[in-house]
Formats: sequence, C-alpha cells, structure tokens
Amino acid sequence: MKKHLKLVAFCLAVIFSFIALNQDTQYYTSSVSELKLGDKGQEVKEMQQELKNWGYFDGKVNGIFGYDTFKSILKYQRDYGFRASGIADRNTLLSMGLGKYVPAGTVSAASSNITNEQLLARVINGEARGEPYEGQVAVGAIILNRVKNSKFPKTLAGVIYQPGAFTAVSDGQINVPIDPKSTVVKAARDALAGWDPTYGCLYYWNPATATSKWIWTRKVKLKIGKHWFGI
Amino acid sequence: MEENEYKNLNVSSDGLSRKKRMSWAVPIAIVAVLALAGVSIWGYYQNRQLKDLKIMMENQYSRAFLDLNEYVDNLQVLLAKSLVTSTPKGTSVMLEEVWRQANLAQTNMGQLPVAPPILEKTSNFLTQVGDMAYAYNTKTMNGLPLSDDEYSMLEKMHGYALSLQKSLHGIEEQINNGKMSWGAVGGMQQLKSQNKKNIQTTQFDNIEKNFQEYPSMIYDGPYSDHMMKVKPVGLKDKTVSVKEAEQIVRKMIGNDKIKSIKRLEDNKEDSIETYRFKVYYNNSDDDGSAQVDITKKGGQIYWMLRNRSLDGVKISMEDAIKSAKTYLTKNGFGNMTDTYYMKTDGFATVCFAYEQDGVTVYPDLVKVKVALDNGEILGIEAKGYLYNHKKRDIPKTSLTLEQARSKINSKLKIEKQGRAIIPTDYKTEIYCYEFQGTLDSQKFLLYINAETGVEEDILLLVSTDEGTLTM
Repeated sequence: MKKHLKLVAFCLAVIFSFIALNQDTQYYTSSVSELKLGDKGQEVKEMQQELKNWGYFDGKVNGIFGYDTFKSILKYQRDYGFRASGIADRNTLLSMGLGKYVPAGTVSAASSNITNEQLLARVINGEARGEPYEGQVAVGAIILNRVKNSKFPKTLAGVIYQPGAFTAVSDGQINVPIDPKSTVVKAARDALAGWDPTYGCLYYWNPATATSKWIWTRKVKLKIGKHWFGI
Repeated sequence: MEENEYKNLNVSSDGLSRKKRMSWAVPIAIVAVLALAGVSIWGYYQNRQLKDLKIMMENQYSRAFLDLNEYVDNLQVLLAKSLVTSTPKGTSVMLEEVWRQANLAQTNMGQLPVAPPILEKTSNFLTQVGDMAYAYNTKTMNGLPLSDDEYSMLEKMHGYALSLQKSLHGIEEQINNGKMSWGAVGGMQQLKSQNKKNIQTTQFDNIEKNFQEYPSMIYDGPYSDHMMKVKPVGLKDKTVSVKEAEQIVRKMIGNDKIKSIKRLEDNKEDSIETYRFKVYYNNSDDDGSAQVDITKKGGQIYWMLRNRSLDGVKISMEDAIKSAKTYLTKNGFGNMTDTYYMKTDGFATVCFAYEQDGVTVYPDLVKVKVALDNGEILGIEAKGYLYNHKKRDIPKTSLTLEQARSKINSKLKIEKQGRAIIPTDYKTEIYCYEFQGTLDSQKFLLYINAETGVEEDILLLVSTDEGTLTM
C-alpha cells in the first residue's frame, strides 16, 4: 500500500513537472492563498495527496474539498500547531510544501537574481542608508566592480562575505531583511542593471569616520555624498 | 496554585510589618547570592559559548589557509610540469589543471581573516595565472604549440608561484610552532581597523612583497592587464565647455521640468572625463533629483539616473520602448535597436544595441530606464556605447546563413535568425550569424562565427514575468 502511494506521488510529480514545463510563464507563485470547503481543482488535489502521504486523509484524491478533506485538514492543523479552522490558509499550505510552484530549470535564474538583489540591498542599507540615491547605487557598483576584478573573489557572496571587507557584514546588519519596496532595493537593482556612478572604483570610505591608514594611500576618483571613492 | 501564592505573600508582608528591619537583611542577602550565582553561571556559559565559537572560527580559517597552501603547492608543480611537456596536448592537460587549482587557491584566499587591500596583489596573481593558463589552454587544446614569449610568461608565473609557496609555508611553520594562531587575531575588532599591525597582517604584508615587482601581464583573457586600460573610441571629436554641457542637460531633461542645476566636482581620473551635474526638478523634493554625467570630449550622455516614486503602471511595454527609442535618437544615439528588457516595480530597463546595415552590434550598448507611469526616461547608461562605438567594416563572408544554420545542433528548433557583432571576454569583436531556437521550451541564442563557422557563444534566454534575461 505504502509503495503504491509513493508510485502515485511520483507519477503525479512527473505529470506536474510536465505541465509546468509546458507553461509559457516559467516562473510564478501560485495565486491561491487558501483552500476551503467547496473548492475544486489542481491545488486541492495536490493538498489531498500530501495529506494522504502523511496519513491524514484516506478518501479519494479527486480535487474536491469535501467534508472528509475538511476533517483531515482540521486534524493536521491541530497536530502541527496551526489554528484549527479547517481552512487551509497560506501557512498551512506552505508547511505542506504547497502554495508555491517551482518548476524545474528556469526558476533558479530568476530567484538567484532576487537573492543577489537582497544581498546587495542589505549591504547598501548597512553602508549607505543616509546617502543620496546615486551614493547608494555607487556602493552596490563597488561590490559588483570587485566581483569583476582580479584582486577580489569571483562571486557576489565571496566579495560581500570577505572577512573585514564591509562593516555592515561584520556587525551583522547583513542579516536584516529588507523590504522589497524600499529605496535600497531599487538602488541594488540599478547597480545590477549596470549603472556605475563610480567609474569602476573598488574602494570607498567616509573620510570623517575612517580610521584605517591604508585609505590615504588610495587614489581618490570622486566623491558622492559623504563617501569618497577610489581605486 | 495562584491562591496559595497570594496567601504566602500576605503572610510574608504581615511578617515584615512585625519584624521590620531585622528581617530585611536575610532576604536581600539570599537574593544577592542567588543573583551572583545566576550571573556567574550565565557568564560561564557565555564564556564557554564564546570559546566554542572562537574555536569554530579558528578552524574555518585554518582550513581555508591550509587549502590555500595545498592549491598553491599544486599550482607551482603544475606550472613547472607545463614548461617541460613535449606536446601541445600534454601542455593543455597541465594548463587546464593550473586554471582549476589557481581558482581554488583564490577562492580560499578570500576567506582568510585579512581585510582588503592587504592581499590584493597576491589575489591578482592567482586570478591572472589561472586566466592566462585558460587562455593558453584554448590554444594548446587545438594542437597549437605555445610561442617562446608565452613560455617565458609561464616561466615568470612559475617563479612567482614558487616564492608565494615559500612565504605561505613560512606562515604555516609559525602556526605549527605555535607562534601564531588565528585565534590571537582579536576577532573582528581587529579586522575593522587595519591600522593596528599584528603578527597576522605583518605576515601577509610580507606575502604581498613577493609581488612588488610583478609586471603587467598581457594575454588574451578577461583579467589581462591591458583590459584595464582600454581607450574609448565612441566619443565625438568636439570638446565641450561646462556651459555647453549644462545646455545638453537642459535639452535632454526638458528645460521646463528643471528647477535648478548644481554642478558637482568633475571626474578627471577616468579614461572618459566628465562634467557631473545634479538636477532638481519642479514639483519634486530633493529625493526626486537626478544625477547626469556628460563627457567633456564629445558632449555625450555618459550616465543619468533619477529616483522618484511612481504613480502606478499606466503605459504598455511597447510604448515604453518607443519612448526610450525616441529619446535616444533625440539625444545623439541614432540607429539603436531594442534587444532585451527587465520590468520591475513599475520601472522597465531596456537594453539597446547599435544597428549597422542590419547587423546588431551588441558591444555598442545603451541601457534606458523608463518609468511606466508616464514614460519618463529616468536613467541612461551609455558606457558600452561610448567605449566601443565606431563604424564597423562588416566583412563579406563566404559562409552563408544557410551553411551556418546547418552547423547548429539539429535538436534545436530555429525561430529567428540574423547577423550580429558580439564582444568577447577580452574586448575584441566577432562577426556572427545569430540564431534563436527552442529546445524543451527553453530558448537559446546561438552565435556562429560568420567567417570560420565556429560556434562562438550560446546564451540561455530566461523569460520571466518581468522580462527576458540572458545567461
């Protein structure tokens, strides 16, 4: 019986991935945020399958949110500490690994783009929050210039997490999630799109607060806001 | 339970009022002792946790350092071997491994607790030796032997690898003798202020000294030293004054929209010198200002960027592209054709390439940022165009489009074809036939050299809701 279930699950997985591959839009998150009594469709079917796999549901996986499905959702929610409402809300779905489709292949590109954006935005936020917009783009550009330069690690994470390279990383500001609507995210995006206000600089510092000696040995190329930029 | 506690409280407060001062001392002493004990235990655990973390960090650093040593050892040996191999094929095998080991060494070096710029030159060496090995490998792989000059370059690189290996082993010895440890660094505090010299930075400073006399390395690779000194060819001849540059800014933004223009310090240190302006708009706060950089030679837009909030998406992508194109034509970038775009949060960034006689010239790149609420141009990025643009001699080729097409993997379904000039990693250009095809619903761009028929590049097109990316 167990084996059977696995087989069914596998087949479904294969079918779904084919469906996903044939879609034109290759990256999307499911628009369904909750499922409730009376709902029908693919999402319900998947949820039922999950519930069945976990031993909460022994009815038919038919894509119809009936009373038996309602009962098993209730039981699932109680067991996993969700509010037992019988409505599979977003959190419940996510906990089952549903609510988000990640078709094979193409997604990594789009999502890694978002990761880069966040990573860059967090450093910008920590390093240049109060600076003018072009000063924020400039800090992002510095990081990207380093990735392209022979003197620095070759990946974005390599450059950002290089020990001692950025104060915002050393003091943990890098771990503060940034609202995707905030200005620093826009700045990160523009930097990633290729806008470089620094003309290829690799270093920047604030002459008012900098304590290191080495900065006085660098050639200053230009100044934006409170920061000096150099190579 | 709660009731009991309540009673207890009453009892004790009754007791307090009866015995007054005397009874105060005992509970206070007990509380103090308990507090002290609590703090001590807490401190002990904190301390132990800190120690654990320190050891963990130290282990990470040791791992990175020892890995670095091993890769540099291998690098040195492989370079030595590559100098004595008898056939190009044999050289190729060695060089491929040099490339790999150098990359690994460089990655590990970036994880050492030594803040930039201290190991800058060493890192540069490791990148270049790998990059050069890769470039030479491409040559030897095809059966061509290395020239005498190329051999002498390899020999030089081997010399540097030897001295780097020696210095690294010196540090390793000190660590083994217990004279130096990563834990003694003083943690991140030390990293934040590099002006305090300690054993560690001094040691790594010494490593850098190996590369004091390091010459410029010129070869066909992206990290070759000549790549840093490329001269722009897309600038017009006429040199403009500040006044003229400001007029150009007024014209491109629209005089009626401008409240004031502030001149920023010129950029005199780059191979393209520019006047820099900050533009303040009517009906907009300071945050909605723009920065515009105009080239001194040529009076062209180098760069422009405005950040303002949007008022919803009101125009279509087609209109945005049209508006961007008109803007480019009006501002000195004629004959541009749109290639790809990205759309996020109400902004669209459209990439334009120059088009000459039906050939898309990708190196001549201008990016335009359009606001999708009213089609205003919020950004221009023309560095690619200014560095590369010139009139190309498009060669007459014997290879026809059909012949090129027949060379393509037959699994790919071709949907679009054309001609293009594409840039290489080391800033040369190749004239190619461009094909867009599909395999398993994934889109690809293929470039077949129009003269030799060699497949020069493959790009994967990633379509998202937000536009098309190339990878």
